[in-house]
Amino acid sequence: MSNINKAVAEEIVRQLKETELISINEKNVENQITNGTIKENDWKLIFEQQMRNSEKLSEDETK
Amino acid sequence: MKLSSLYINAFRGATKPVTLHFSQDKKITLIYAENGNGKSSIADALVCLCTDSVGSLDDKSNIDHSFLKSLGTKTNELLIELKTDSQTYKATLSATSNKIIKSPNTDLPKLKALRRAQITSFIESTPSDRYKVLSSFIDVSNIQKAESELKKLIVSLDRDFGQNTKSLSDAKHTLNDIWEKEEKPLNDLKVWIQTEVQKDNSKLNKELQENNTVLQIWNTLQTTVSNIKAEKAKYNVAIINLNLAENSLKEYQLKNPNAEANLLSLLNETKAFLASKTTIDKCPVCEKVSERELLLKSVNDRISKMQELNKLTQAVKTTNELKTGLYNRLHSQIEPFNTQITSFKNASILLIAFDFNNLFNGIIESTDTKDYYKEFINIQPQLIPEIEKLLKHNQSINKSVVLHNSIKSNYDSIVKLTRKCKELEKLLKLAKAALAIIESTRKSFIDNELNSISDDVEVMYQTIHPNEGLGNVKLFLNHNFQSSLNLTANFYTETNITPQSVYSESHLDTLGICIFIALAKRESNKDVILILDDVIMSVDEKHLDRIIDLIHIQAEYFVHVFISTHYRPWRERYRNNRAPNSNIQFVELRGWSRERGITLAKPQLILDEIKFYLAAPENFHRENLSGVTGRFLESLLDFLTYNFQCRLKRKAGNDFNLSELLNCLSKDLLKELKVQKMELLPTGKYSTEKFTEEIFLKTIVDSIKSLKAIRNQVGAHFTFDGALVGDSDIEDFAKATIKFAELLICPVDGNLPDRCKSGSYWETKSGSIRLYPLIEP
Repeated sequence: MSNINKAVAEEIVRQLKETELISINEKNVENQITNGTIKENDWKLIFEQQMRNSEKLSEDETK
Repeated sequence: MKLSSLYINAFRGATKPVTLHFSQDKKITLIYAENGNGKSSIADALVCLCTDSVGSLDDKSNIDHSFLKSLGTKTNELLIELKTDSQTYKATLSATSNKIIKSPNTDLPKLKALRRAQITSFIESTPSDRYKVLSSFIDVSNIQKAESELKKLIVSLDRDFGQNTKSLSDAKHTLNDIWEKEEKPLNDLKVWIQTEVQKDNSKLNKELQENNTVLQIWNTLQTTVSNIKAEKAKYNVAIINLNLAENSLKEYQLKNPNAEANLLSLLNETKAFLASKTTIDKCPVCEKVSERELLLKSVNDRISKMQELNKLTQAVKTTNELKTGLYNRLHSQIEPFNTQITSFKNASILLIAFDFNNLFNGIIESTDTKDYYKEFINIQPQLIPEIEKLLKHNQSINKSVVLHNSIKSNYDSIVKLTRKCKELEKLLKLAKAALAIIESTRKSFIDNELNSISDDVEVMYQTIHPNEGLGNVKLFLNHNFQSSLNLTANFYTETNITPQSVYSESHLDTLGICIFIALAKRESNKDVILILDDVIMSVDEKHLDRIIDLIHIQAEYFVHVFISTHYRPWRERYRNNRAPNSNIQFVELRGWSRERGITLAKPQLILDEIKFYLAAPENFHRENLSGVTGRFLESLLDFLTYNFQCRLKRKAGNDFNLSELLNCLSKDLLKELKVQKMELLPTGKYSTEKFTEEIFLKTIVDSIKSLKAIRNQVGAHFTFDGALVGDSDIEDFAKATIKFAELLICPVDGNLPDRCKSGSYWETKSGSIRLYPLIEP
């Protein structure tokens, strides 16, 4: 069962990173999804981090 | 892992110890036995040892686990022992609970068993029960947990976004209302807001603060003055009361000159003195000897006689004390008043727009504060209108400040809420997009898994039922319901129907077997023992061949396949080389009785039986050899004539005899009838181009034809002519048959060339032998 969850989690995280919905540097999210331990607030922090990254990137580009 | 042996004792039908030794080079074990000879006992022994099930007993209701143990045996005798090339596994029966105890009890061999009673249960189950069976293959519950948390976040963000949007709208409305109430200054709301927000309100705020300080002190001062007035009024009343009491006493003394107040005072003090002493023996004044009680009585009598004087004297004393108390209270108010009036003066004279400076000119200045109150009372009438003026002015400032603060506060809220809403909107967008990816990936994974299982089932089902208008088996989740797995298939022109509605029982049986094998394969990394316990009831010849073929193909996915059957045609297919008998271990159970238990017998292949009779003179048996050779020839010719589509007279039962089968091999066919033995390559496979030998079969068929009468004369009937047949002719008949068979039988798999993929010849599965032609010319 864990292998199934791991395989699906891997694919999910790959797509989330590819579509830049989460940061490419997110390390724990795959394990958290695989183990079913990710919580509402973890998701929020991940997206907030990605928003900050995007904002920083666009600021750098503007400069 | 390879299975070495299975030892069973005192378990179900194994009333006596029985050991089944597994051939190390064969992956399939076929146990044939008529019912009641112990097939299921052997299968159940493996199931009990390797799983939590008790095998076929699980299929029955109200089972008594005490019957796991054989009749007439003791609990401690029960032993199942499976030896593999790496480990020995044992199962015994608990002495107290009828439970199977395993050693070791972890890392047991993986085993999947299918029994007749379960065969269609998956197909006929409800979608939710069917889901349970497959849940271990498609269980992505952890992904669903992550998804659920993300959904919670979306709900929470959505709610926050809604609340913030409403607050933003409210702030905008409030500003608009204020603007309209102020009669739309500057005729433009945004410009007005910007102007208002940029205004410096600090001076106004400072003035408001100073004014409020003065007004606050004024209010405190008013309370203090009010208290002083009240206390003073009380004090004045106390003075009047004291005067009245003193006048009354004076009048009494004038009327009663002997009434000496000083004496009364002395007597009262004496009484108090005597009361405080417990023993006394003389008067404390004159020192005349007397008892305490007599002295007290005397003093009391004298005081009583001076009652009126006493009352008046007490009244003077009480009113005087009251007056003194009130005086002190009045003076205690003066101190805070002095502080407050000084503070008020200091604060108010700073308000240059008002007249406080003039009003306080020259007063409340000296270090002697005793006149402050009087000075204040004198100017209070002039102060009150000034305070009222200040109050009115202050209300106006306050209104401006409140308005400005409200505009500023709402404007700040709008800025903050606009930022917050944008942030929430972005977060929501990210979360929703992520959820879409998670949902689609999860569903796609499950659909792919189920498609993969469905495809495997379909391939297997088509192996058994090619071109029959059945199949297209689909397992799929109904995403509208939780944990609901549907099964559909085609039925001729009808597509996506529920197979249980229209498929025959035997078609459902084979579908059940295919699904079971497909699922067992998913769990197997070539490490699962597959048990098919009497799953085939009755099928025709062609379907039986295809089922056998399917099992041989699928065996490679398992560590071992264990088949038990009571279906004799299955046994006969192997015995007559009509199925690939080289790859199976063939076991037969015979004659079970309580005394003998399960009895293993090694069934002989027909070809081996013929060879046995020829192997030694003492083995020779004319009639048996003739009979078995004739039957074997009939089986071989049945295969050939069917494949070559030879012309035979129709019969109801297709029970053609040897003569009829031999005679239908036409001259044209015999001209072309040949076998090519293909070259064995170093890779272990057979060449698809080069053959080592090419043998035409006409000569050998003619030889058999010349001796065919032996089949009936010696092998079937009692005839006088039969007795005239020489032993050497019988031996020649058998030898020719062996030669004929060995030219056709695959040396690898032990079956006949039954495949025609090339379209021009028949060949064995291994490619070792090619048989020409494809059909009778």
